[in-house]
Amino acid sequence: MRRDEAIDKELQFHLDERVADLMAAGAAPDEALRQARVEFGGAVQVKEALRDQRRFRPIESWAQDVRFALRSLRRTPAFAIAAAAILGLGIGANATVFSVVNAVVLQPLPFDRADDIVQIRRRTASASSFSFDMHDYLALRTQREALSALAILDVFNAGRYTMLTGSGAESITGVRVSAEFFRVLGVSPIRGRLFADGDDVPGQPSTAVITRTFWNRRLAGDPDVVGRSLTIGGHLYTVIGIAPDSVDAFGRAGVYLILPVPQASDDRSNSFQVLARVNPRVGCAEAQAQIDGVAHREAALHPRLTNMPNGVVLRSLREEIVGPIRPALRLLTIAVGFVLLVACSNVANLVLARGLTRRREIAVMAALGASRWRIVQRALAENALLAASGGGLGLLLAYAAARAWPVMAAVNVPRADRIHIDGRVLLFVMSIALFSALLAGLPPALQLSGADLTRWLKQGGAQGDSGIGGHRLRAVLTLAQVALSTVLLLGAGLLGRSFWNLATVDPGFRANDVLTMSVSLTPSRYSDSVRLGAYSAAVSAALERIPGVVAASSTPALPTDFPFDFPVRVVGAAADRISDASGSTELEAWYRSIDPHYFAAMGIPLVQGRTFGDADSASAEPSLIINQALARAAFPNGHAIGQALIIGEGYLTDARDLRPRTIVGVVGDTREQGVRFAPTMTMYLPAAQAPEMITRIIVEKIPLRWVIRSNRETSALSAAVRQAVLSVDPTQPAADFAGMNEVLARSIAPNRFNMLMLAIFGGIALALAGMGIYGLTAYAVAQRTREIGIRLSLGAKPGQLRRALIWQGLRLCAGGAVIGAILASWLARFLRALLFGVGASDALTLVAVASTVAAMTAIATYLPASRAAAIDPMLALRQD
Amino acid sequence: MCRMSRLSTRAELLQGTLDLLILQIVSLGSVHGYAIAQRLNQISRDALQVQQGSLYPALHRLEKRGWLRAEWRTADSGREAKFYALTPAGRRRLDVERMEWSRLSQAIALVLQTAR
Repeated sequence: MRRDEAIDKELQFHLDERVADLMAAGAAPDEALRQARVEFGGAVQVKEALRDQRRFRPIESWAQDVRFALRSLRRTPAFAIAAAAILGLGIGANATVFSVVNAVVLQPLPFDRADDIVQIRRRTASASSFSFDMHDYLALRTQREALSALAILDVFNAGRYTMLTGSGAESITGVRVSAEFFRVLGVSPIRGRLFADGDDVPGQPSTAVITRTFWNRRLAGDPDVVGRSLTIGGHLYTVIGIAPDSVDAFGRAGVYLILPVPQASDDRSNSFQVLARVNPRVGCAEAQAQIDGVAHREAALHPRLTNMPNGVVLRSLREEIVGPIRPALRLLTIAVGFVLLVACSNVANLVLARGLTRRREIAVMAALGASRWRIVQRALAENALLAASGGGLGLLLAYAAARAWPVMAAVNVPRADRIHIDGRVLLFVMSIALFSALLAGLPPALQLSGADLTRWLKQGGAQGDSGIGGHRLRAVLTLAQVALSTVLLLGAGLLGRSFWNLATVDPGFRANDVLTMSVSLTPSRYSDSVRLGAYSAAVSAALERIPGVVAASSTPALPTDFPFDFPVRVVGAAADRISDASGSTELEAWYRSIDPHYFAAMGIPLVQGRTFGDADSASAEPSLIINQALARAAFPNGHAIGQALIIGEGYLTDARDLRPRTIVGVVGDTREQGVRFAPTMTMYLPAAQAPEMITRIIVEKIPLRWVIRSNRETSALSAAVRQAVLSVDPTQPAADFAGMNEVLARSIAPNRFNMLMLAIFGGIALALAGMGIYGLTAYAVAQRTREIGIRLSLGAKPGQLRRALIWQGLRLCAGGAVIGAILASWLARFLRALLFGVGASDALTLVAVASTVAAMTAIATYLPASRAAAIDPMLALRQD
Repeated sequence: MCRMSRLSTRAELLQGTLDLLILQIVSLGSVHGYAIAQRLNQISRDALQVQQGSLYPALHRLEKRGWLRAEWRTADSGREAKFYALTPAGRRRLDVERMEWSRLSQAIALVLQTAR
């Protein structure tokens, strides 16, 4: 007998027996049947309730619940849309951040056994540095067991090269690498071959490997590209093969040029980096120990040649790429988590408010014997539907954001192009949708179905109105929302203050009206300081002939570009005094070889002495200008002019370059390292007097930069600048045009991004919390209409009443704000690394956020409170 | 609003006491649903009007919890009916429910006497 039949039969038996009894007592058959049915109540409902008890067919009951939920949501579309939108916002924010985390952190690098790829770093006094020199690389090469491949590459040159084409010259991105580079990455060629051992032996033909994208974009997919010759940086390279685009995961170069590796080298330029693949049989820990041992042995053997006296560290390539962005991602993850919590508690509030009007329905279910779980299940089905639609919305949001990420290139998220919605993101969205359904649905469902819970309370004699419990729960939820949005706003406030500090900090120069560009020089044409100095002077002069240009000068690096410093030593009588003060006569100063009008172009003030002029030629006595920071450190007594410094001892080999250079001027300090950092000690040399070795580094490794100050719109200038540069040497085109303001903005773009994100999330959370407070007050007013009416009729003043209600809201929000502030101070450690010029517990931010939250609360409570104050006592009293 | 909460309160009370009453009646011997309803009315002298709507869900619930055992047998009227009997677990449950009930009613009686 099927279960349905059994139920039917049992109930039918009951009815029949009752009819028989009634008839036996003398009732007419029709009357007996009617009365039996009335007594029995709705047979359909009884059957339904009985079926509900059957746990062994959960799918059917779930389907039934979903149908029921759909019906009831359709009846209240405003609630359904609001709840789905709020959840969608929360889930979307999380899905977006997760899709970034997924692409950047979770996805493995697109290389075979990518975890074995490491970058070797020199241990420095405080941390470690990736910059290496050729000498130390050669020393590490003697140890081959721990590493299955070891490659060296140009660090500065992951930048611009000039490539000659049929029609002229083009600026391209390229990097010079040794032969084992592709073996380190473990990639195979798409066409031709990649570098093989021996290709990097000096004297071998110059070869190049291009990426598929470069092949398609720059060489129009030339089918005969293998074997073709390209003129890059003045050198002729033969293309030997095409590499997959995955190699870009590391740099953004389109061309990989062979870097000749000599047998021995005294290079100490620290302008390379070293990548290696750990031998899987050895393992990372053992490899670290062995390589570190090699470095220490080398340091003991050649203390004057090596640059790794403290040994080396192996750091995984993934860590190198992901490490810098991790604090920001962690911050965002926490922030969107909070947004989700706020969204869930907000929806829980809505569900509760609605649930109060549904108590009758629930009471009937309970009376019919539905278990508590059954009631919770039905309530949850509705939330599951809401969360599913919210999840769909969130997915759409994340999809849109994933397409927008690469556009926000200023953020400089590594591997941003790989951000997309994949199975993992889908899974994530599904699980947080489920989580939100539970989080938003369970408290109200338990509260509303809380028959068993309240039963014991009632047996104790407390016959409380369960509406109060609901109100308390709603108040707690609102409190949580206020607290969470306070945390987010505090974070946003602190980051905002930091960003403001960064944006307004005086860099020491005037960035307005300065245009910058670069020229990637062909080494063979400008191999020494005299020729390079003459070229840069000629270009600067040509630039200054452009109408509107006030001053122009070359420089090896713009502020914020990259560290470029050398040791300097004070000579003569002054040296004794400084050695007394600090115990050392050697200082590190940033290096800038410039044209005469550099200070005018940058707007750096001259403090003492003179700037450079045409007289400071290659043949003149070497002269030097230093900034105030260097002057203070080198000459504590304040008499810098006329003293002399020696540059680059231990690095430079040419005796002529090691001559003392006389200080002719002192200029203001600039933040060369970026606005985040204190002004650096800096020295300026006339370009023509630059040490030969440094000139060689500049010509071979760095595109030469120009700063151009004009009194015209800088964007209108580029065409004329391009012309002027080509007029001096038609084979050297200008590239990378950017306003100096833009250069500075780019250096603080991540800060701006973090601040904006937190501000957006904080704003969303605050708006949701505002809705929560509004709903809570409005509901309280609606519930207390009668009481308010009585008070008013007894003479309470409407204004008083309104104030009391607003005050109530403010008390709630004050509680939330305090909890939020405490939570924020605990979370501040995630923020500290991202702050600038402001403490993690900044009073001003705290006050500003507290007033924002209070203002929001006042607005959110004002409307319902005014409505309460406007209640007509007579109407209210008549209301049931 | 108030009316609604009162309704739900009564349903809860009913549910708790109904279980006790059913267990008590079934403890006297195997019996079918209609007979349980009849006996409830008779014993309580019609003071407790049990809605059949809640009787059957309660019976099924008690059966599922393992307190009642059901079997189909021929009734006096000659028709097939579902008979309920108490399981050992049900007997223990009845003792518990009885004890709770008497403790509760004593407590209430005490309150009614002393808080006069």
